[in-house]
Amino acid sequence: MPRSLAGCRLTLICMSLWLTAEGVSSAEQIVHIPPDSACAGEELRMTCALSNPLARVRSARLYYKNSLEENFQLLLLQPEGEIWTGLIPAERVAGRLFYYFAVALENGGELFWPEVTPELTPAQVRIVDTSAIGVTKDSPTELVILSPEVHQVFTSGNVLLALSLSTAAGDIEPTSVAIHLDGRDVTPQAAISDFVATMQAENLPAGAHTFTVAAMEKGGRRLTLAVIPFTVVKPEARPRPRPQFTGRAFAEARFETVYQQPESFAMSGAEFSGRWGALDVTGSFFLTSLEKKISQPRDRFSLSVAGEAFSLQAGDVYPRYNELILRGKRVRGLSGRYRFHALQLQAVMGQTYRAVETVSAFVGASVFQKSAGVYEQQLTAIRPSFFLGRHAQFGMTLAKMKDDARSIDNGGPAKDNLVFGPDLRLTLDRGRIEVEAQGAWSLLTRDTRPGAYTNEDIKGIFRPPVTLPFNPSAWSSLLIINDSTTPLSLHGWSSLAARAEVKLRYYRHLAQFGIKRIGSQYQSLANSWLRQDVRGFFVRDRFRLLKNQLFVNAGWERNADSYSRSDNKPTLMMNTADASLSWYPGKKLPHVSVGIKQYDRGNDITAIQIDSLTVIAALDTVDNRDRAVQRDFSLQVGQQISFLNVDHYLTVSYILAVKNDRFSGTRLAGIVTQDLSAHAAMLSWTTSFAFPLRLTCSYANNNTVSAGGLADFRYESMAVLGEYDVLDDRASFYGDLRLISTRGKTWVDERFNAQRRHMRFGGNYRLTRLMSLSLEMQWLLYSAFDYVSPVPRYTDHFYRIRCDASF
Amino acid sequence: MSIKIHRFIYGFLIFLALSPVWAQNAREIALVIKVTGAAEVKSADGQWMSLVQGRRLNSGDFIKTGEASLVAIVFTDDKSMIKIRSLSQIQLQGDRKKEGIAKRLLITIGQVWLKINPKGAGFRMVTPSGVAAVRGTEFYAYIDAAQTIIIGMEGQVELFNREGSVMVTAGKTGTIAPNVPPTLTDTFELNDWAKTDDTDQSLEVEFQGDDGNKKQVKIRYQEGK
Repeated sequence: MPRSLAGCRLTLICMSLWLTAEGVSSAEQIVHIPPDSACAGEELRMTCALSNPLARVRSARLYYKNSLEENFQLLLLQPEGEIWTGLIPAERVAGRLFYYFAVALENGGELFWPEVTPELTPAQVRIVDTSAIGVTKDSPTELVILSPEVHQVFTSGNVLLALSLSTAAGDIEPTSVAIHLDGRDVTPQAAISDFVATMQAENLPAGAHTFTVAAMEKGGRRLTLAVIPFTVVKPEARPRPRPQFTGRAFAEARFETVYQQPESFAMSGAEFSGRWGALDVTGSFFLTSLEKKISQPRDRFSLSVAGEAFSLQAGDVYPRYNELILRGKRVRGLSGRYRFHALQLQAVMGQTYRAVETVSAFVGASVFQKSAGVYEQQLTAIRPSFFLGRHAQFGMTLAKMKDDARSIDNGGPAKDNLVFGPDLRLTLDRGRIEVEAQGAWSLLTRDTRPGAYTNEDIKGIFRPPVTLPFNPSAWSSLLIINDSTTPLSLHGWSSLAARAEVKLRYYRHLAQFGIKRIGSQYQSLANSWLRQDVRGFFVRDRFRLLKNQLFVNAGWERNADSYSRSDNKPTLMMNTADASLSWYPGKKLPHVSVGIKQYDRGNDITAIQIDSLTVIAALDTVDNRDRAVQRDFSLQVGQQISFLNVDHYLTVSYILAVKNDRFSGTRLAGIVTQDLSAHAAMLSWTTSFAFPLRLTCSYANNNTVSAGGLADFRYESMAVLGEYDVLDDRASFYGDLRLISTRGKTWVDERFNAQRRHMRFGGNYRLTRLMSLSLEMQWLLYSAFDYVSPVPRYTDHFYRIRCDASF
Repeated sequence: MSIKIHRFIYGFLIFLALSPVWAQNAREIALVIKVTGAAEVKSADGQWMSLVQGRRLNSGDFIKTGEASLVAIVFTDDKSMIKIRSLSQIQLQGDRKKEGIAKRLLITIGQVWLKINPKGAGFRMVTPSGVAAVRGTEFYAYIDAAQTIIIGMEGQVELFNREGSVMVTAGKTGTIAPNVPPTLTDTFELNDWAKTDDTDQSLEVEFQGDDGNKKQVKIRYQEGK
């Protein structure tokens, strides 16, 4: 694509559509069957696998936390054949368990489950507290457990776990069966037919064990959980000891030439987790040759030690206390948590930005700034919180962020920021109702260089004079207050922010409601991405039908941007409504996904503003009218078919986006309207042969017309990808070829026509069971026609070598 | 019940027992939950192979046990259970119905213990000497070519052949032989081996000393071959 167009809005829109088309083309995803429930205080085995992986897995991670914890814990998953597994420690299995999977691929891709915003909307597991809800381990069940008997004693560690799925009382849906042994999900190891489910447990250690089964009738009714305790008194052999520490490490070198600029760099990293006595220990580091003192840190390192009541992290930590104040900001320093009964204290202290000096250069006698300097910024935050049983937590966060104005010689305004606010989390009705609310109030001094003002200074600023009830200079260690501090007045609550969200889980629905209001002067430097001067609400519902074959998702969101009008900008109203429907009827029928979305935005300006500028004695016309509706439609159909004893997977996708500018007919000449029409179609065919070859062919095109027909963009892509495994899967090779062409014109009738040929070859060889070596080469040949480009033809090169090891 | 009716039922059951329909129409009717010693299994059209814990048994499967062995089987619909002792040969048959599996056990020789769920779809045990119609009960059965002995532990078992029938209940022992009417006596000797899963044959003798203390001596023995 022509680089001069890189920032062009038209191109961005088209690229986003293309990326969307590319995204839906891949059937590569994490496959995970969520456990319906787990027993409190028992280890929980979590598993996932990859369907149709296009590249090997570099690392598979499980992030989990229970409803009593603030932050997600990391668990590195270990491979067991095609399945990745890990054990959530027994003490973490309490309350309600939230989790998501993240899988990093060797081709740089990353997959998540759930796929969308996993950290914000993680999956959940119902934790069965057998003592709390009266389900004892001897409770009668409707399930027919064939083996073992309740309290049966075995003299051997080899125990058959068996469940009848076809009884006179009714048939059980085989896919609903979830089998746990001692809290671990062993369903993947079970053999499940229409009539019986069995799992052979081997070498169980001596002691008490629990076999738990959850299942549904074919009619959809969930049956009472079966909990069968039994005992092994003489194990035949000791189980293989679980490793104390597990982890992964990698080293990678890259040699690239991008736009005729060669660059080489290397990186390495490792992450590990394990137990040291009663402590959970995790650690990681990432080092790269791109680390330079003249830019912000790229290296990462961390070490975490956690016990039952406390945790301590050092290095790069990502605290998350209050969504409005501190929400996963990287802090290089120390972070910790200590809990004493119902009280918990969290604290973090460290550096968020390091000092980078302003770089200036001389051009003749003039000095110009090549890059703006960054002050070293320190963050200190503390959050005491109070637990009301297992169902409520109330916290108060106080955070201070301050630029060190002496850290660099030449810099702009240095800031000082103090934010505090409460937060509340509440779960009711066994977790079916969740309420989350946060509030925050900020004080920001935009320039600390004048120093802290005295009360006399403050009086001199305002007319009539304002007298503060305290001397600001006496509080300079907490916050430097001067005339750049906002707010100095509490009127209007412009520096207040608040949000609340309610989740309801009933009848297979997940209904969510939320409201927010972020003041125009609210600012937390630890959460600088938070949009200000906005208020709104949203309603969303997700539910399943037809035995989990049909997923429905619908929502409506309404926001008012610049609602305060403090900056004289008109209030922009934005309404977004969307609905999607996904049907997965099984392998024999195609899966279908349909989605629609409507964006409606507009302000209340209806007239063109005409100003007479006396300086140039001319009329200047400003058209701030904004009223546009965009409708998106997407359809994806996928079908697995078997032809000539070979499995094929076919995917067809179509995306349509239409945007109508309500004022397009009255826009003045030279003003581009927001009208847009885009069509994108994609076809993908993946064939898995009987021998270890998989071939994927895809075709995509996109045609976008915008600016009232003045701009036109056409895109076509054809790709062939092949993967071949040899030496009993010890080695694999892959290669793909992509041909991409773009052509069209911009709204100023600037025409372009470009082609890109992309070739990629690579391979992976498993040196040992725990170590592998990867090589990859890529060439991108770019050619521009009918377009004035500084370099009409060039070739980018990428070479990569990487070694992965597990321990 | 008249003898004619018994004969009709007996003949009908024998016909059904020999019918290939029984042997083929149901899969995974039972599950092997325990194997001690040597035991083998053969599907209706297959080869003998070693029987292992967790094996799913289809209608028509044959099982034979070796010396000092024991096999425990549970039916997958209602948890009815069979324990098969050493040197036994059986065939399992079942027919899936709405109310469960209609079960049939064909034994040519051996010793078995059965605990049948009374809510099931019916259970018949067919031996060379006659048929046992089980109505939900627990009993031992000792079978060879000459006779079949049923020792009732709980519930009722109707034991019949062409010559007549008896109802075996707890504490009673029924005996049936070819061409001889079944007989019913009180049970005077019982080795409750199924409770201990004891694969050896043994005899427990209780002694009382002059001081009044009681001692038990367990004598293990093996039948002559």
